[in-house]
Parts: sequence; C-alpha cells; structure tokens
Amino acid sequence: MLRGTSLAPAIAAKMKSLEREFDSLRQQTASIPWCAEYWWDEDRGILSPDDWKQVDAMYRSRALEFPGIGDSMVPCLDMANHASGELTAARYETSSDGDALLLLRHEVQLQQGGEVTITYGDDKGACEMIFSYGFLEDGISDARDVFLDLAMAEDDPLGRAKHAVASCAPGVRLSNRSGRVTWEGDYIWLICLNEEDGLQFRVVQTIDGDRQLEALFKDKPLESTARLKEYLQVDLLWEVYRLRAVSIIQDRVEQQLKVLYSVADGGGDCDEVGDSQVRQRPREFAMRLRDLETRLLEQAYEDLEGEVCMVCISADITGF
Amino acid sequence: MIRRGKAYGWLHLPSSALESWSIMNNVQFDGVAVETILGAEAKGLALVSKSETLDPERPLITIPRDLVLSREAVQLHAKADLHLREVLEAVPDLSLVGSFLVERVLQLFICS
Repeated sequence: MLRGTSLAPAIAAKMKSLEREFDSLRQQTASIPWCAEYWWDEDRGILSPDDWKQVDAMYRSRALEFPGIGDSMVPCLDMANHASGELTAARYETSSDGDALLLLRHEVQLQQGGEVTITYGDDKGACEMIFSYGFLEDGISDARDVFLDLAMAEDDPLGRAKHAVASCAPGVRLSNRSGRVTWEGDYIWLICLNEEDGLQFRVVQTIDGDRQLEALFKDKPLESTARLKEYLQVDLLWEVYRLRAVSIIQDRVEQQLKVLYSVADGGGDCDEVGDSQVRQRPREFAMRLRDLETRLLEQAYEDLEGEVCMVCISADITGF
Repeated sequence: MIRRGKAYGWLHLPSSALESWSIMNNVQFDGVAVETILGAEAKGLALVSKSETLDPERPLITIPRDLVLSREAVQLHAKADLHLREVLEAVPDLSLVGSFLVERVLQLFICS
C-alpha cells in the first residue's frame, strides 16, 4: 500500500529503531529484580516490543513543543484536532505559574459548536503528517517534502568507509516551498567524490586509545560531512562536483518515479499481504500520499534538469 | 501489555470519564468541552466551543503544571518514584523520548 512512497522506508527504519531501543532497555534493566520478574520473565513478563511501539505512537501523535516548557504531553489540550494556517483556532502558552493554557487566537471568530483546533505544525510535509498523526488534512495539494535514500555505488571501493564516516542521514531531502523544488543533504558529496578527487581515509588513535576512521579531502580533515561541502564550494572544480551531485539525484528521482508508476499501473493500492484488511481511511491517505509525492518528484525531475543546464553553462563560463 | 489491557478493560476508559478525571485533577474548562464530532470527517473526539462569544484573553483550558509531562516532570517524578529512577539510572544513554516512554510504560504497568 505504501510502496513507492517515502513513508514506507521511514516506517521500516522507525520500527527497526524502536526494536533496537527496546532490546537495549531489556538488556540494561535485566539485572533489576522487579524488571526481570514482571517485565522480562519468559512466562510471566508482560512487556512486549509492541508496547514500546504503541507508547511511541501515543507520544508522537500527542507531543507538543510548548513555549516555556519544551517537548511535552499536555492532557486535555491534546484532545484538540489540527488545522493549519488561518484555520487554526487556538494557541497555547504557559501562565506565570507554569500552568498550560489554551486560548483562542485573536483573529478568530468561533461560533457555538465550532471546533477549537490547534496547529500540529504548519510546515510539516504530507509524509510527516501521516507518520506522526495518521492523517492528511483535507485540501492539501502538495507533499512539501520527500526524503529519498541514497546508496553508495556498488562498485565503489570506498563505499563502506564513506558510509562509516558520514555524519548525516544517507539521503536527500527534496522540498517544495515556492513552486520550485530544491534539494538538501550532505551525503551526496560523499557519493560524488573518489580518491582521484582527493578523498582519503586513515585510521587514527583517539585520546582514549581507541582507533577510529578519519576522512580527509585534499589532506584537510573532515570533522563532519557538512565540512566537505564547504571545502568543495571553494574548490576550482566546484561546478564539476555540483554537476555530478545533481545528476545522481536526478537519477534517484527517476528511479523512484518508476516505482510509483509501476505501483499505479499495477492497480493502485494492491499489496502482497492482507490488503483487504486495511481500513478505508488509511488506504485513502496512502493513495493521496502517493499522488502528492509523485507530483513533487515529477516537478523535482524538471527542476533538476534546469539545474543541470545552469551548472553546465556556468562550467562553460569558468572554462571547464 | 497494552493490547491485553484494552481487551480486558483495565486500559480503556469511555470518553465520558475525561470529565471526571479533569475535575479530580483540577483542569479548568471555560467555554469549551470535549465532544464527539459526527459526520463525514469522522474525526471522533474534538474540542468544541460551548459559547457564542469566546474571549481570546480568557484561557479556554487551564492545565495545572504538575499534569504536564516534560523533561522537568520526568526528572521530578524520578525523585519520588524509585522504580522510574532505577530504570532511568540503568539506561543512562536514554533519549528524552525514551525517558518519556519509560515513564508512560510505568504508568501503564501500574494499571495492570
């Protein structure tokens, strides 16, 4: 049902992360006697990975960033549903005593029986709304953000080393905020470069006596992947690296579109297992997400094509 | 634990219980109430205005600070709750979200 959307890998990664966290909790509390007896005992223990996932979902769907308090869960106030932009009816803040308050927005006229809504975030993309809250607002006409994973080339001898030193998510975020799709993400720069460009690796000893892998670009150490882009931007071959990056991202977008088209051609929402058991609303949200992300990626492909042309022209001007 | 609790009823309360809970815990509602919204949108429960004239300067809901679950609240709870403190000390690298989850799990566990 979610195949081809950015939600599918996000959920897979989230489930894995929750399972790892739960295992870590189990290992580290196994020596506490009451935990061992009531949580982890094979016969009588009552905690399961499913509990951890459900509590995470409870938190994720209800947590607010409360001014003066930070990330928090606020009972009763979190019964309010979401509406974005001008449709948001209420705001929340803290009193001088630290109590949480819900107040009507000044610009709003609400009739008796009208719904008091808050915003869960005006800037969140379609995927994030479904991921965290399980719904998509009516009238959403844009996915806003799509995150696509990126992989090192299979035949890249430095692929594993590059991935090991990466300090950012292994992918690219495509965003549409003004009618034009832009991209961001530093992982692409690691993919683009190889030894001939000046990318090197060495093993160094840390202060604690451990050994760790360090990356360098033209003998300059890379404390983070973001630093690599800074070096590239002032390099003579910057336009060449940019062209490589944009081309790889465009190929990735094309690859994702092919998956989305094949899912659409294959009957839309058919899936291997238990599709008929999926409730109507989640199925509708999944289909809407697919449509929205397809449109954003099609726009991205065009805009990336434009960027390739611009980079080529710019490279001609600088003499490459 | 959660599935069993919901199935056996010790982890499920009707939405009408919210009113009693709010009164017991000193949550103030002024001009709004939690009700079921019927119709095509199928939103379920929602906050609904009970007045023609709501004043933007008067809080619609006031929730006492000790009901808010935040980082500060978890740390405070851990001072009073030995079980919570033991678990948080056993898992020192737990994220903020993780500590919230542990606190919630313990609350649900107490219900069981």
